[in-house]
Amino acid sequence: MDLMMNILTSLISQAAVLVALMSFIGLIAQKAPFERVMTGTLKTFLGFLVMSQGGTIITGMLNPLNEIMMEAFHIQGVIPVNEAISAIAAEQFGTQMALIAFFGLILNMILARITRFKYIFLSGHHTIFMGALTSVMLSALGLEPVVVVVIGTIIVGVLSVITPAISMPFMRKVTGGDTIAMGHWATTSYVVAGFAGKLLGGDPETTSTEKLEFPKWMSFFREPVLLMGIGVFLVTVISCIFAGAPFVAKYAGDTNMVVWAFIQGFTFSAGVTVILTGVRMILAELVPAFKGIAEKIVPDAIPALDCPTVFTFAPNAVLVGFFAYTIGQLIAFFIFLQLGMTVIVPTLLHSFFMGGTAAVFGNATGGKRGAFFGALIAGILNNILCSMLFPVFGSLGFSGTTFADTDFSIIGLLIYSIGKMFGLA
Amino acid sequence: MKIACVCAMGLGSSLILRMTVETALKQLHMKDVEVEVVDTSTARGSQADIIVSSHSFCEQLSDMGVAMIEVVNYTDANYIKEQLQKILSAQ
Repeated sequence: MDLMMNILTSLISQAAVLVALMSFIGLIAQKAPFERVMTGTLKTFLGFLVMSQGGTIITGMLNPLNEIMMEAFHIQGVIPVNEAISAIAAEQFGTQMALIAFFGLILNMILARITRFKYIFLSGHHTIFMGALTSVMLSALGLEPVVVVVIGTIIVGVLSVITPAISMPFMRKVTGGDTIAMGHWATTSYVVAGFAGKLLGGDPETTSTEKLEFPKWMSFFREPVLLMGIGVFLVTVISCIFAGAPFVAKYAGDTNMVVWAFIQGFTFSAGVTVILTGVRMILAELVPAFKGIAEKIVPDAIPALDCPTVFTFAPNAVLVGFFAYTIGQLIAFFIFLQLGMTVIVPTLLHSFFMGGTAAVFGNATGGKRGAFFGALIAGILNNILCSMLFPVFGSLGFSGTTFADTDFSIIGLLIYSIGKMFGLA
Repeated sequence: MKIACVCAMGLGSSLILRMTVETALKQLHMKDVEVEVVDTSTARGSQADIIVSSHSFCEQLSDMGVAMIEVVNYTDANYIKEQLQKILSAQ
């Protein structure tokens, strides 16, 4: 009997088992055939383990880079990537993360059913990332795990219906209808981009980005994982040059410094690819099950979708956004150096996703000028918020990476400020 | 038959597409179709019979020589159903 209890409690305390259990429940609720239930459940379990391993690759790569950056510029540089920080956080807070994500989905359905916000948040990866952020921040306040899960669930559930509602007026302009909503937690920056387009842009009809012609080679910018590798390579190689070969040799050994930096850059991409594979396996069963159940509970539900689903409505704006957002990130970079803030390394990955989406919003309200300024301002805003959150986050023992999107930074800072008000932080 | 739903990271949009494609397949009473979610790099090795994605990714993968369905609205199952019917009747 003791042995049974021991096996049971060991199992339940494993985050990977918990997540697999959620898939199991989802599959049963959908009346999936036996073999689907088995393979789906085990694949989710495997997916969680794969995700954690990706986190280990990233940490192993970031540690030397941090030391080299410190030696070269005496600054702490941070590469914000949600996938990386969540996978790292999962090692310590996996159980709370999984529970918050799961109950957050359920609360989303309840709120969509009983309030007038009929949104079903289908970006499951963001639900998991928000579970990571809230479990880390709330645990840091010294709250009991049960309290962490309860408050985290409320935050995730409420955000799931509120953020799509906030961006909906702009989404109507983008998609021309009510069929889809925005389900991506950089919503604040998209709304800011929408307003910026209105204020600084021109006529959205006649000056639309979709009337522009772009050369075909620019499609290279549509490979985000490669972009990330190249970006991290550039940061690493510049840091290596300033730190000097003897210092770098501590990590690189006999390998040429530039070659080593190149491998490091793409090792980062490799880590992210592994995490993506894991998250993909986790979401493969969870999200369709959630959607299936939600549609029964909330018949008039509007699905809130991941940000690139709006790219098809203005593909040229996405390119404009890529460049404008990168410029915004560079402006923020110089602000950090001037003010001595934590340096957020400009990340091309975010220029693609967040810059692209911000520009689609800006284009819908202010044409090409709206797209440009919308994405530019979004880039500055996002990185400044990241830089404000990092000191809080870094004090918890995380280094080198942090959450990337605006809403995560804002929620993190809010949790910290409210905790401080109650004398917890 | 195998259908690959493609997006940049293979996380969000492609999963939405998979659910839409599965709805369309159900309406067409088609079973034994494998629908997978992939990113652009993996898509090339996927040996799929049909690719479902946005215009830009379909363009990028056009040299694969497989049938493609370009979508604008990721949740429009009727559109995917019509396109699937077109592809199947041409084969």
